Amino acid sequence: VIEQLLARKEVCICAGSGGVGKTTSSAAIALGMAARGRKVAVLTIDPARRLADSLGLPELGNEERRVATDGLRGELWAMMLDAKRTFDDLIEWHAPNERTRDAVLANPVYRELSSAVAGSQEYMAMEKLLELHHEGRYDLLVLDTPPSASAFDFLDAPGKLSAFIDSRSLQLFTAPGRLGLRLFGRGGGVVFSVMRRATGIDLLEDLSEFFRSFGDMSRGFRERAERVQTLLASPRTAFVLVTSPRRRAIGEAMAFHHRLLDAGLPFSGVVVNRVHTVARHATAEGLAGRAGPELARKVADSLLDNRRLADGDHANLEALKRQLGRKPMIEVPELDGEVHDLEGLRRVAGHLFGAGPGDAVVSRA
Amino acid sequence: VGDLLDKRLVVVMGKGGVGRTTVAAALGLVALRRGRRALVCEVGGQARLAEIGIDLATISVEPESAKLEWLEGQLRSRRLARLLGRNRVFELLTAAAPGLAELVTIGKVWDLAQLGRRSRGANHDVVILDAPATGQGLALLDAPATYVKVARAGPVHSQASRIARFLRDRGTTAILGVALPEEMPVNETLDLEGRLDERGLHLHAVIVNGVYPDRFTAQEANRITDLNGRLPPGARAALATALTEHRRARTQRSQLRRLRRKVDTRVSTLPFLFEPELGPADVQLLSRRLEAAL
Repeated sequence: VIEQLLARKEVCICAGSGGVGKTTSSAAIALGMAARGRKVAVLTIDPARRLADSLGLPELGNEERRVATDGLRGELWAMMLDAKRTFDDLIEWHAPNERTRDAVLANPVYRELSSAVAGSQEYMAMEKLLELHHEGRYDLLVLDTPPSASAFDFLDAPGKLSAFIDSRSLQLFTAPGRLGLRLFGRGGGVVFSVMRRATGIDLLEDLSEFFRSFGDMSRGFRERAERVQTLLASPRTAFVLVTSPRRRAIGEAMAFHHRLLDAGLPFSGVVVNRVHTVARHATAEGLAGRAGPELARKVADSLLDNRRLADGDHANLEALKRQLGRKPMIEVPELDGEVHDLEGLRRVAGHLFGAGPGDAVVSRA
Repeated sequence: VGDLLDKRLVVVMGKGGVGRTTVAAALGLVALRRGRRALVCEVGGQARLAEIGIDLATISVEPESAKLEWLEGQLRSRRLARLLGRNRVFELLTAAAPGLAELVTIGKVWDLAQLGRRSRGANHDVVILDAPATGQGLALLDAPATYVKVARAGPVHSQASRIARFLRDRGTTAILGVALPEEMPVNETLDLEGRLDERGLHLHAVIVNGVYPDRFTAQEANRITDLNGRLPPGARAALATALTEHRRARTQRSQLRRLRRKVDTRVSTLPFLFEPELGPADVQLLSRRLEAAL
């Protein structure tokens, strides 16, 4: 099913709340598409190196690395985005001269801004996506969105960050004194002195220094932000929402789905990971004779417990299906073993892609 | 557990989806049973505690209002704080000033955890912080140290230093890791321990959530495998479910052993409950198990 969703896509963005298996889904989608002949790169921002682990790579860096595996008709590449490096590269690229570049790179505000601050990861993920898409070396880019409590962060954070480096706030610091004060509007000139009292002057000096050096670059950044928006809204992009069968995760996925539709972004479908399943015809009746009363009772208890889970998941998924209408929902069952290597990813891909021409290749060990 | 509840602040940390909120709520219930008033604190506009539906003192710290409160404290004037807080330029600057949202959030939590604190609200003995998922949770703990560096002097500098000291002090703050007995959450817990260490912070203990029961012995599992071919389909399906559960339990045990071997702190477990969604009675049950385990 995934294969049809991504048939004419160049970018696949996997979004969802924390702990629902985004990284696994991203890697499995990339692996499956590579097995079907495409040249695919999967991007993650995971500081815990989950993607590297599951792809069997010792480590991943800011450059793509090819995953060596049999049975792919295409190619699989992976990278772990280093937000700070990407940001630094961007400054190098946009800086009009070396002096400006060095001033920005050395500025304490920039240093904090560029490393591990909420928002910069999301922003840089988009940047890298744009860069790789522009270079056009891959048929498909799969983005594993940064871990966060809420899927919304991915859409919200870059906007906040670009508001920060937007020229409107720059004017305040680049404009000469009196004009700057006029820009404060209500509250007037007290704002500066009040902020000084509230924050300590050094911070303000660093900030204004940062804005001064950044001033020349803000246009370049704004243009890129617009191109990112264009790429996200492009019909060549697919948003795939990843969720667990838990009610709250589904609720968040649906809220995100509406958000995408409102924003005119291309929503493609939902992947539900780790769905509990129990065969409908399973029964522990009549087991006691063969297995003995003790074991039969345990099996009956286990069946009851697992069926309760499976029924709960089933009800949640039925509700999700109704809300999705014609948009596809793909279920991946809770697997026996854990998914932390290529073999595990192949099994997940098998479920995501269903039976198809590439399936034999995917399931090959 | 008495040791843990003697702190002013307990920070519950872990990867997304491992059950931090459940553990935070269960710990709050333990505190209540021990006659200690606990305030369970969520951040970033989450309201998961309310969804659980148990009777606990809770607060949701939201960066915008935390910022206003912080300004009030700094300026000692609510009117001035409101005025500044509504100023568009100020809003732009603070909305994006790196780590400021985190600083005012952890600042508010810190304030709630002070004995003679300014914040309004009922009095309590211990604050339990249901921190955001690992990366953002660390950003929260990092913010004070960051501002000690960025604001080299002034009130922000001195307040940030106080908060940073408070978080590092093992007598006042305990960091509790939450994990699942699975490969990735175990890796992330080990990673968390290292990253806390780099910051001079200490992982007090790890709670492993969702541990499957040891329902079947190895012999029983073997007997199930032997029986399988000689039974009608319904019974075979039941045995397959049992075997799947057994295999999952076994994988979990080995992950749990790996965690215990590698982590340099105490590891306690909470059972997996076969419930699609956890209700108040489930959290009560877990809190009793937590009390016994800690």
